[in-house]
Amino acid sequence: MSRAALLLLLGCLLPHPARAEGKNQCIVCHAALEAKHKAVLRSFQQDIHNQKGLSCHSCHGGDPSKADMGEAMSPEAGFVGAPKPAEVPAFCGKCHSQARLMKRYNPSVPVDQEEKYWTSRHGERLKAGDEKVATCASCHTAHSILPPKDPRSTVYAKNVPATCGACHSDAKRMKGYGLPTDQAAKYSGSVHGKALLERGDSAAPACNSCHGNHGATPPGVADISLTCGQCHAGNMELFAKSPMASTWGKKRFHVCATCHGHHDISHPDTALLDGEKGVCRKCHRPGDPGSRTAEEMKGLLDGMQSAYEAADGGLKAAEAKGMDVAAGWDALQEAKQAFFQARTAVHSFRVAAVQEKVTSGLAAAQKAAETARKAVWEFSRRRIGLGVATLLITFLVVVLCLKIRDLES
Amino acid sequence: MKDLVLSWLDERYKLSSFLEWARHKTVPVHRWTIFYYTGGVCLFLFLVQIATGILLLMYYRVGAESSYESVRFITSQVEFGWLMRSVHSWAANLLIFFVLAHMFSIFVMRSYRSPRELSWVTGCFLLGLMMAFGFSGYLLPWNELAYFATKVGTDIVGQLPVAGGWLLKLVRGGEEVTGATLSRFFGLHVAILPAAATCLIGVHLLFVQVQGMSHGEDAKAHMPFFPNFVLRDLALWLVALNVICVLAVFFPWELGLKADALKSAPAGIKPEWYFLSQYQLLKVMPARILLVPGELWGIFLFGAAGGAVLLLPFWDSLIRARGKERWLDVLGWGALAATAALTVWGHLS
Repeated sequence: MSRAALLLLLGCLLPHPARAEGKNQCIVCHAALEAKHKAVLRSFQQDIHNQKGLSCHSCHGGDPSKADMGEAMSPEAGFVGAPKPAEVPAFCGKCHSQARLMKRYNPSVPVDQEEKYWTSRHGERLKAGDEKVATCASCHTAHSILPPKDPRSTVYAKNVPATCGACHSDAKRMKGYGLPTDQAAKYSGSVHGKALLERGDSAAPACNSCHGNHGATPPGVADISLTCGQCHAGNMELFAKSPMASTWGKKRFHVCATCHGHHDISHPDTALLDGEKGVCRKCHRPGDPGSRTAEEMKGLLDGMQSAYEAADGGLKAAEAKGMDVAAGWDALQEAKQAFFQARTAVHSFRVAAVQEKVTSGLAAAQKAAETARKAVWEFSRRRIGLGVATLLITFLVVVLCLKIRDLES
Repeated sequence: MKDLVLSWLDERYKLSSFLEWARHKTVPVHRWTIFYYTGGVCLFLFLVQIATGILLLMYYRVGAESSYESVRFITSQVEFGWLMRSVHSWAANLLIFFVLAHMFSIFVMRSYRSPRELSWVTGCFLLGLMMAFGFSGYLLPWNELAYFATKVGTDIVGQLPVAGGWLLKLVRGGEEVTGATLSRFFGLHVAILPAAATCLIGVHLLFVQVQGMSHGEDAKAHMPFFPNFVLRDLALWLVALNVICVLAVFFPWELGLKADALKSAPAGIKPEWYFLSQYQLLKVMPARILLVPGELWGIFLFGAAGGAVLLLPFWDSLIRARGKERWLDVLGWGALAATAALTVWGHLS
């Protein structure tokens, strides 16, 4: 017998995965059905449950070893079939809410998703009988479920806005809820959306960062500063201590959103403090103390911005000439840090607090500008030095040539 | 006073016999006399390297945590430190270029033939030393490019059969390129190689002085070595110095970013131009040829080519005996063209 034939025979004798655990009749039968059933089987191949060794009957019950459909899908065999929308949270929760079971697969995976879900706006409405709301499968899919860290997952940070937007941007679907449908579009153009979707910065917030994952709900008036403060802790702390905090509380203003907006939060620049077009004009009149404070802070920040840009331009120009200005870049980094702190200090609504940071930032920016200026001067000095050296060397070469000619004449 | 000093020295060191020898030393004048100056330029560039190297050594502090910082300090804070570093880097490249030019001119003139075989052999070893200077010195600023170029370069050593792994550890001072590698390269660059090169240059010059310049017997005219040839040499050295200064001012040697072993290698990383042809050849070698790794074939090829060049004066007579002098030209110019083509290819790819 040839070696190849022997190998083939041995290969046939080796256990096939399906053969080892008996044929999975769910797969055998569904593979012979129409396209949508085949598609389910195909998509389930990459599903995390399949990767962890689970199969159809793990969720849907039944007996996959029975070739007879009646026996395989009988209630006696535990078959529950496809759940109705209202049944989905409990359907997934029968495993995902059990800490003992889940830690076998992933010790760090949370087990409170179902509990949280019922506290969410989606859960509350589902309980009230609204079956159009999102359930587990709406976000995670039914048979292509992947871990959130997998870039192919529908709940991967960069894909979350599209996943939420699939329902929330659908005007027809959202009709009757009294909700806007432009959140996803606004988010895409926001400072957060650009960071996440355009720059791929996975630290930038997506919908779930502010609204929560399974307990998704719009933050209330009192919660907004806490929500934003999760990341912008310094701003939140300064605002909470500022004289504005109590006034805004009384007027029931949304703390951060009143000035920065909700989903369309733009890059914060000094235009927000502009006396004519700034956000302060929503409440303050030109010339009143609030407007004057805003104008003063804007002047300080604009001055610092100019100094920063001038130093940055100077350093780039010096570097383009081949000069080493590493010390300048270090100083400019200090200025940048102070600039961020000065912008944060705006939330104290005190000119003195902004002034303090701007002063240290300006000093650092001036140091950077000075490094750039010295480098450019040094660049000119080198060329002059080279010119002088070249003249001297040329003179010496000429003298040597004359001497040689003299010797040989 | 001058006579007094000379006679004092003459009594003790027989200075008059040296001066007498110098007075009578001549250099043949013929159509290839210009090639004689390439050796002088090499010597001058070596002296520049010694001088600038000593100045850099005053501020350079070897170590993974201090090398980059000290070079940055030299280029940004030390008065004329930038000039010393750039001159050192440019002169190093020019030195290897002129050593190659000098060797090729010797090949073209067939000056390596008897009785000057050992002058050629010492010259070959000097080229090897200069390349070792270049390779070891490239790592010393401990920047990103140097780090990864050294990693790739030393990886080649590890490919050698039998002793490859051992040699790799010996060169790197461990499994990876680390501060230990830096210390080794530093020791090599500032102590071992300068001592070896100085001795070998001394021997090389001694051979030239004892045997005289080649083609002396065929030349119709001769010029005195002192002062005619020396003055010409000096003028050329001054021009070379000016060229280095222009390069240093207009194209200062960049320092780049500090080496970080955890970062991935920057795209398009390449060795210095004098290693580029070997690097490109290794890159384009098939993975395996006759079950032997392609890289090993490449290393074997370099070794064989190096051996052939080193022993040229000894096998050259076999070709001459068969009257196939032209083969040598074809071989020499062909090797030069292939090396140049591989270098350009490596640069562009």
